[in-house]
Amino acid sequence: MASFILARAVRALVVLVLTVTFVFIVLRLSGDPAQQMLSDHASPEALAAFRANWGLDKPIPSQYLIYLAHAFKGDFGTSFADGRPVFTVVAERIPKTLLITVPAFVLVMLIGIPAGIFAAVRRETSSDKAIMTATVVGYSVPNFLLGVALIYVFAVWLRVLPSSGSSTWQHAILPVITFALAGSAAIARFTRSTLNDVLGQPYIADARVDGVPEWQVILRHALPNAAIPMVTMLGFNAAGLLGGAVLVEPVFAWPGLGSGFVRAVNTGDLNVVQAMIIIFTGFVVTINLIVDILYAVLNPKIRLQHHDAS
Amino acid sequence: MSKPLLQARDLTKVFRLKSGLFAKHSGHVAVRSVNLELAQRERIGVVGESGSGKSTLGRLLLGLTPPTEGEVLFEGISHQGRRAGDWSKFRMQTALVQQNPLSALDPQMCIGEQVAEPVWIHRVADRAGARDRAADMLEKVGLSAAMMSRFPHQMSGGQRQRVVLARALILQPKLIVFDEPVSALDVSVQAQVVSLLRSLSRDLGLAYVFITHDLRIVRHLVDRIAVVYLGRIVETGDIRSIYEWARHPYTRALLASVPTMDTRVRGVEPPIRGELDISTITQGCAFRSRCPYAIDRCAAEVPVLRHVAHQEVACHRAEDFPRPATARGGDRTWPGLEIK
Repeated sequence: MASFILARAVRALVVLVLTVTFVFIVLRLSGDPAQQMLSDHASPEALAAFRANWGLDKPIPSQYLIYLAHAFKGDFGTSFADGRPVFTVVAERIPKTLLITVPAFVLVMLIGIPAGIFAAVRRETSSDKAIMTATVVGYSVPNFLLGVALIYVFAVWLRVLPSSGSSTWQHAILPVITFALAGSAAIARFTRSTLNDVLGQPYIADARVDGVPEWQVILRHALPNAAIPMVTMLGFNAAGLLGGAVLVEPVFAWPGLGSGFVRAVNTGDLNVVQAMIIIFTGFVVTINLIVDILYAVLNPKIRLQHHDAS
Repeated sequence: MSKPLLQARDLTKVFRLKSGLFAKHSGHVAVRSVNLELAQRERIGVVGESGSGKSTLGRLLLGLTPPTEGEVLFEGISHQGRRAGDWSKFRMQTALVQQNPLSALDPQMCIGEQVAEPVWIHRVADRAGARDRAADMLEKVGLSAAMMSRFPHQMSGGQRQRVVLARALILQPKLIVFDEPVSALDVSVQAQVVSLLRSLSRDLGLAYVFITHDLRIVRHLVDRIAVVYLGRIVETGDIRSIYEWARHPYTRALLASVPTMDTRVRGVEPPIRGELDISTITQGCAFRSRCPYAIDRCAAEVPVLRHVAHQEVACHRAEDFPRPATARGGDRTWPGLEIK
């Protein structure tokens, strides 16, 4: 088990380094940062001075090595836009994003999983159909559009919640709901279909024939087996929340990584964009690592195989 | 004689098929007007090819799916009239052994826990007592108690089926439905499991319904057989009379297709052609499209199960089929009729 986790962690690190490399190269190929920052009317002298100042006049391979060496020390350079260290710019936005994505994810699990279980147990009844119809709506409306609709209803029309900013905890409510509705709809559908698959397995028929009461069939046999695919799906969902932040945060003017990323891209703030992509990748890689570990914990086939080997 | 353990009366199961939003519902009749009776300790084989409805019959008998028509009675009590407490008692006295032992075992639960589960679920013993019983039962089916902590994926197919057997037998049920219990196993393992089955069922005084497509296996395991074709019983009787002189062309074809060791002796019965043809079910004899001996009457009139000699046969021409010839070594040839 320990060797399994170590192997996965090393793999996660490799993915991270590869991403850094890829992002570095692609961003250098996608245009001249000096031109982007200083506009097309800048004089050749100004451009040359800008490049020399930021180390952009060196060949790309040596730029890369310098960047990598600094990055390992936590130095991601300086923001072109406001001259502050990128590390600070990014670090102050991370908690803001976690403040809305973590509660959203908890809500996704608290709403989506029980709704899915309920629909699966009551399969083909009107409550199943009602839940599934609701999920189609939650699933198919784009999250930024849902955000705008929520602002209209709760901030403009009912005037009970603030629409933008992050000064009070009330400001977090609408973004969290925006994330949670779409996410729990997807998880509810997935839970239902996974559980239905498991409930059709011969060992479930066997448990019923042997007189195991239905609620115990669900709890002891169906849910543990449904948990494995569901962990994978919840991992996707958690990773999707971060991608969603790029769309949802600007709607609510929420000063997290998502709106920061949009601003950095628009202003051509190369170092910030670079660092944020690395942070996003780091989150996704970490989530995948957690999913892999949970997988091994839940599935005796993986758990015991590595136990036997070590 | 004491009252029968299990009775099926006019059992019919129709699966509704939805074919589209505006299309009419149509139905597939999996089991049609089946009557079956099983005494205490009696062993019956239900024989038929895949798609004949034999597995559905097994599920109906155990009350896993409700019949469309007819009823099933266990010790005189109908499934429909059974209350919650009676169901629990029924579940204690019955068990199911399915075809593929890998999918019949919960992949997430260790063997010991799975075998012990019925014991504490029915409050026959506490959890610790259930574990002890599970260890004993595993030894009875030829597995060591050390297997208790294993998971299904760590065992061979034969071991898994022994685990399934142990779980089925642990509460000493009165009735077990075996649904193709060995057909997923290697031939060498089949023989071991079959002989284990025979000795255990004899020791425990078990009644069972043995569902199979394989006449070879069933021969030494059951007292009676019922041959099923497209949801209907076409021939039933005690195993000896049917092996001596099967009267239905379908049974005869099945018997003739059993491979023999003697190469000179072959079934003369023309082999049946094609596959199950569901379209013929609505009128006349369902088997007629594959029957070499079908006559006009077979298309017009459904043959009902009637007494012919020592068994019951659903064939208009049952009396016409001659007795098979016995060759050296006990193999038989099954002479056919002249085909008009």
